[in-house]
Amino acid sequence: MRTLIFRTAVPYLASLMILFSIFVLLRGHNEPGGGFIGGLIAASAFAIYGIANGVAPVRRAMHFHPMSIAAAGLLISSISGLVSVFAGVPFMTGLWGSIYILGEKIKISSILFFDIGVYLVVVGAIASIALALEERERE
Amino acid sequence: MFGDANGTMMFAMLLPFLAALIAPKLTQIMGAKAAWLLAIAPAFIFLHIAGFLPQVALIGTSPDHPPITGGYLWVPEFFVSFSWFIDGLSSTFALLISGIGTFIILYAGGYLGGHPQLGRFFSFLFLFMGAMLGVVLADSFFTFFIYWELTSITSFLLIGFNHKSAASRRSAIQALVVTGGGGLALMAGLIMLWLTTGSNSFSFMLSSEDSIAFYSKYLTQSPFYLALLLLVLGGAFTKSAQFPFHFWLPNAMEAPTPVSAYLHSATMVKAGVYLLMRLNPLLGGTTEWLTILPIFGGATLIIGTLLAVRQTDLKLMLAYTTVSSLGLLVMLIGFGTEKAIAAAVLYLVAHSLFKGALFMVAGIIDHEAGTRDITKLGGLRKAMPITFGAAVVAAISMAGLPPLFGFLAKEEIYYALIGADLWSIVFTIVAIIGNGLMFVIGFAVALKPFLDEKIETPKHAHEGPPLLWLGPVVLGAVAVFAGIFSWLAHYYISNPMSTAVWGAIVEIDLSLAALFHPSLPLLLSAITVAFGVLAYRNIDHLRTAIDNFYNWFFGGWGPDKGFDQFISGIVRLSFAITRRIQTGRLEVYMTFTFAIVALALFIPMWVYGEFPAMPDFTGEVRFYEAAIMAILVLGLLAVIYAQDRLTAIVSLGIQGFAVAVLFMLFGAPDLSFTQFMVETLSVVILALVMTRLKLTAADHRSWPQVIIDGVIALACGIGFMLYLMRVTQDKFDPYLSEFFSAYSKIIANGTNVVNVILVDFRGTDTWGEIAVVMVAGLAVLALVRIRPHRTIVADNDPDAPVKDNLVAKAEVSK
Repeated sequence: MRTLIFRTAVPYLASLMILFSIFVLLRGHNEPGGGFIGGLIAASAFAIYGIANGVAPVRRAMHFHPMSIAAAGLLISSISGLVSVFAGVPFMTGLWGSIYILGEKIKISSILFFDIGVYLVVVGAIASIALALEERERE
Repeated sequence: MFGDANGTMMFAMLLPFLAALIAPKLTQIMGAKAAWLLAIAPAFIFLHIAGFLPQVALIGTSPDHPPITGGYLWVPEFFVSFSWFIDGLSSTFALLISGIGTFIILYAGGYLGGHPQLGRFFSFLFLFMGAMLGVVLADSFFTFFIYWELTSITSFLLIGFNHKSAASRRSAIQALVVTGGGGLALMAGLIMLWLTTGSNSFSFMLSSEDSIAFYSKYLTQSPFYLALLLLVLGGAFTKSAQFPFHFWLPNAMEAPTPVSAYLHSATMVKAGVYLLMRLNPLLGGTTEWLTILPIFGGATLIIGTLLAVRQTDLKLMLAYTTVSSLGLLVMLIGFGTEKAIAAAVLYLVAHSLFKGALFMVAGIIDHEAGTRDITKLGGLRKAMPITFGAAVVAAISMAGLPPLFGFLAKEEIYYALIGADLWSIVFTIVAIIGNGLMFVIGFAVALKPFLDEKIETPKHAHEGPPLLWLGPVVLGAVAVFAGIFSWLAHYYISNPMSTAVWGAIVEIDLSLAALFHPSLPLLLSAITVAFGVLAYRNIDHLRTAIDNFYNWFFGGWGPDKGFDQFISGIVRLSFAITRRIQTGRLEVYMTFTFAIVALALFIPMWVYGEFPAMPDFTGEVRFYEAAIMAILVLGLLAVIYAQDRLTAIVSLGIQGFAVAVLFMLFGAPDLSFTQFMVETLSVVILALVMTRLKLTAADHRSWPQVIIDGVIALACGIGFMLYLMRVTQDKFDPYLSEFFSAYSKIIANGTNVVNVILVDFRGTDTWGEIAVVMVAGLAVLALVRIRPHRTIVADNDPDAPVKDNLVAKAEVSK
């Protein structure tokens, strides 16, 4: 698996995949995509990077333990659901608002954060499984 | 009734739980002296309930005085509420629980002073107190049942308080199994009661005489009456230790004495009696009720007293008389006359007072003298005069002698039982024997350790601290007071309680004046006393005789031993079944799972004749659709004919991709997208797993096995196909599609319906699912780290950065 071409190409490929996964995550509400698919794409990126260059560089690149990323995602999702309760509407009701960045109106919602949480859980959990399995292959 | 009074009542009901919370910390700071502070909680509850008494005394006298009710809605969708109601029955019980509870807390402080776990003990006691108060104050069946079970659980904790002793643990489990098992029966009984009457509130059914008459008639004529009655009795008899379920109560004496005095004599064991009293107006009066209750109650009375005489341990003697007293109560309730109910009420109150006091006395003797074996005790009266006094007063009440409250109870019992028919005569004799033997035990406990010449005890006995003797003294004083000022006790306690149990106004006018009017009951009392004195003089002979008879009759077997056999039988049975079902072989599990999936698909279609019609193949198939189908088939063949597992996995991926393309063609981009990613990752992860497991490269199954597996696989596949075909052949109900298309933009600001459903409409589902993904990830990590025959710290452990760095360096240097 670790041919020179593969090893050279994979970092670029993986970066592109992660960029694409974020794109898919953010467009999800109106176009095909969303947190779950995005998370799977990102997890594949990490898995491929791991196959090509070994697990340690992936772990360094991720900086946090994948399970911590998943846990953070679950926390974000839970909080974005709970925020609604404090706003006086039932749990998980979407709250919408908009902010202006460089004069551009951007709609922002608790739903978006919920989806980001889903994304992180999927990336974290799947990457964690894949990396754990790859790691053992090396011995 | 809603409003401020509601809040205070709620506070009073929650106060014990609050006290349970702070008790450990307080005990840590103040030691045993914390008891004085903690006792304020039950004292407050006592005063709060006592404040209702003037109102309670008038309940039922006119329609203007209904029972006091209150509460909060809990799950209104299911008509479940957290509600309470106060009538004569619940107020008396609540007063006993909180009043005796106050002194038990003090007593516990003295009894277990310096014990390292005293704080925990207080905590458990308060938990129990809260639960027990809840039982007697509950109005809704649900509130009642939850508290009922809570008393079983707290009783378990308290019996097992000395958790290092095997006997304690066994007794705790035994009590929990017996009362918990009865609780299950009771739950079924209450649900039946609810379904039959359509009401789950005691106060509603008992609100007026008309209402009682209506529901009583309705229930007793229902075809489910007998089943309902037996289930309720199952709960009541186990809780109140009726024969043959009596064995757990003497064993529960393993608990520290404050527990025995409080739970296992004065309060918890009376929960069953409470239930019978509560339901007497509704379920009572039938032949079944009037037969089952007196027979079981009478048997319990006689067996309990005989077994009590056999014992030499003070606590066990008292425990068995508690069993017999409970039998007496059940017998009286089952007699079903106004007098009998009044007698039960009087006796219940009297019993709580004297038995609680006697248990505390037994505890003091044990605490100060170091033993509670009656044959090793004697001559303590000089050393412990206050305890002696309290013991004698309690024993006089237990023996039913004037001027104590116990005397009134005993007189009323004889008034109730007297009759010319055989049934009455038999039970009068039963009562005389029972009462006579209880007379013996009462004085044996109260006199034997104190009189005669001094016997050397393990500890040098002297009077205990006030914390210890305060309880018995006050309870004794109350019994004297209630006996002398009986009109007061009747007005606030006995009459309202009897009224609640009887379902109509009851007036008790029995007072000490009965002493001066010769009557048949007085004569029976005299006979009882004579019998008691005679038996007391010959107690040692009596003990030997009963012991010999018991050993001859049972030959070492009894319900207690039967319980052990029952439990070990269940364990053996479940072990045998488990070994048969859970073979531990993955192939077996997989085979069964998929075989059942296939059956679940085929059987409904076959039973209901719902096989799909032959589909219409005339439609035009485009060439690229045909091409994808061809890829699918190729993938399938590749899987089947693959030489090794790795090839098979990759071929499975081909198939998955083809399905994903199909989704795309038929307009489900999100689904297709996800399918692509899932397939990719499945192949990657499965391949990794395969290389890791070091399996033989090729399939090793024998031909017969291959055929069986193939049949199951085909059955599942065809089953799903037929099922889906059948479903899609029905007219499509577009309700949901239309709903989501119409509202996804308006309500959820999103045009991608699939995503909007996932994160908004069904967001809570997704939330649960990602939690599952997270847990699955953790589980896989744990599994991956298991390595047989090798103990290596996993190098993917984030908590081991040094090793990680080494690995990283090794990787870089490669």
